[in-house]
Amino acid sequence: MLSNVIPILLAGLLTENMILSKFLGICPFLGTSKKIDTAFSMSVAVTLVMIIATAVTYPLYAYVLTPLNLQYLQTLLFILVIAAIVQLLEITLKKYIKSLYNALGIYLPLITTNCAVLGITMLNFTKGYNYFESLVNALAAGLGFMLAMVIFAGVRERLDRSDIPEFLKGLPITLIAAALVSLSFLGFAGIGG
Amino acid sequence: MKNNKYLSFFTNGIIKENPVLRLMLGTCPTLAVTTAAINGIGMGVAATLVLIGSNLVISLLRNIIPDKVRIPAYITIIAGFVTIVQMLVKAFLPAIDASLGIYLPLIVVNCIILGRAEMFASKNPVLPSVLDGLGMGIGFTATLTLMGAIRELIGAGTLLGLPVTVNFINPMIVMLLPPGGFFVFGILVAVSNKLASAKGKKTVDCNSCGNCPMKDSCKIESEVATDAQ
Amino acid sequence: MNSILFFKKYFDVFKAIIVLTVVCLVISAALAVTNNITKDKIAEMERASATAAMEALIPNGEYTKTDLSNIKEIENADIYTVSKGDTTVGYIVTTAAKGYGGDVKVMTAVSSDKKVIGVNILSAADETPGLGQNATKPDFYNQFKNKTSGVTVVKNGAENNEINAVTGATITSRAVTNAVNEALGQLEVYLNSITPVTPEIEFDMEVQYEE
Repeated sequence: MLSNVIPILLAGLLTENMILSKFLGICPFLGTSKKIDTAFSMSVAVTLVMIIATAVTYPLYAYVLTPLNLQYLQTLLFILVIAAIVQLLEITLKKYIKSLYNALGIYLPLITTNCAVLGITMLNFTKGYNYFESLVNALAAGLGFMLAMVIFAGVRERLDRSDIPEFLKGLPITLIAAALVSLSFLGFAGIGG
Repeated sequence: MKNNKYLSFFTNGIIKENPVLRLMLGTCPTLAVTTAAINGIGMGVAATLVLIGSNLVISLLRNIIPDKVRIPAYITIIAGFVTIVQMLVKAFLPAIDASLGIYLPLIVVNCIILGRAEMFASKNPVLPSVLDGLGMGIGFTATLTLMGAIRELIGAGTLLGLPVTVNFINPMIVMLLPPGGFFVFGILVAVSNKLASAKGKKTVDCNSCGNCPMKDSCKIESEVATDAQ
Repeated sequence: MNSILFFKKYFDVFKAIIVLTVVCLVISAALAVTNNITKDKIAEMERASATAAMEALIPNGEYTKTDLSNIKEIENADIYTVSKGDTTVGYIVTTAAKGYGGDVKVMTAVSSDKKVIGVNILSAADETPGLGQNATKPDFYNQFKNKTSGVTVVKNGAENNEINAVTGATITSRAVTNAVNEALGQLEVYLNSITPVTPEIEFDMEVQYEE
């Protein structure tokens, strides 16, 4: 079992990083990575939703859609399930775990349209993972998301204090910095392969 | 006069409000699939078809769908069109399906489509909505194709699969890899900002949340949650 | 009276539920219709591309998919018997191995004397463009011709049963090689299952005991 888990974790964290190599979840990556603590909270919320979404969508696809030969409803069903999960999670946190809601609540509605969440629920099937491996994959992808967000937030906090050519100010320099962070992650190629 | 108005619905998305370079929407597919110009065209056309279809239907239903459930309703409609386009691509253009892979079904969460549904189709009649979808789609396709062409030319020395510089310049493969995507996009945004500021327009800033289609619903959804309490 | 009040109060909720349900039903129906129209076409395209790939490896044969449901050792592989007239000219095996970004699907044509006739990379879309995807070029996959079970990858200077890796894409090269070795192994299992091992070996052992 462990021999399956480690390659999946390494892939999710480093070589197949959601943001830096699969380009999923770029909007929150650019939008909420200005400060390290915001980046961290956003990634915790994303990881949480990814795991719950995988836990729900996997059995739905494997034991409901596949036996009924309705695989073509995958996209429709998955996105609605994710939207429902996000909404329910928000209401539950607000009612029962107020402190967690205060920390993560404002990020939750943004996650519905986060392609990283829908992406991971679909990738579980294209990669042929079983239920347990899919859950590990969701955790790994979430942690990879967090790693990229936190590292990049650190880079951006320094970027704010740098002298940048006028025409590169703002988004362009942010994207170029992302290119350099992504380049450094290329160095992990082959780990766990 | 009237014709001009319709024309502007159409041209709006191509340059003035180019979804990728001016509104900062749909960045994920822009970065992910543009390793070759042909992929940019494929993704662009697929998204355009979805955009026209969803804008048409959402505009038709704009007075029927209650405000509270509009986001789930829009998502359902968009997911329907995405799946239809996906099945058609699989049936008639399997090569495009293989190269776009998972990014084809992910059009459903492409912010351009939900964004136009929220900002335009839900407030405008059918014809302008369709024209808006077409214009936005063309703007998206053009940007993706341009970016795909740049990355393919520098990274592989070819253009649409035909050799251009590959025979006498060693291609810079890094342009096809993820860092190349971020880099080329950064440069494109810089050029677009430069052109915009030369015309006295606002440059796009880092806060991509500003144009996120969920921006308004963030507040609305927490209000719904308050009501439920 | 009460029921009217009740209805008024919850009218918005009912309306929302009904609209959402109707939208869902209509969209699902539209999908079912499209699926019905396109599914034959999709299956036909898949069959046509599979046949074209097999034609490229062993031309003008008759390709019969073998029933592997009784052989539990064979997993994730398809075996086709290729015959011309009444004679079996070879076998085509499809296998997959984990590459850099996902599975690399490979079709291997094997002659009756268990040598590789040719290799066709069916899908390497998840491999890195410009590096791993170069494995789909003939320069690489033609190296497998006439190799036998247990092919290994070297960086360069391949001899005997070795092949040269694609520059900068050792993982993809290894994946293709693994898939080819897997194909040869699975075919061996299949051939053994249809022609049981002759009892000669047991006979030898008995002789040894007597000595």
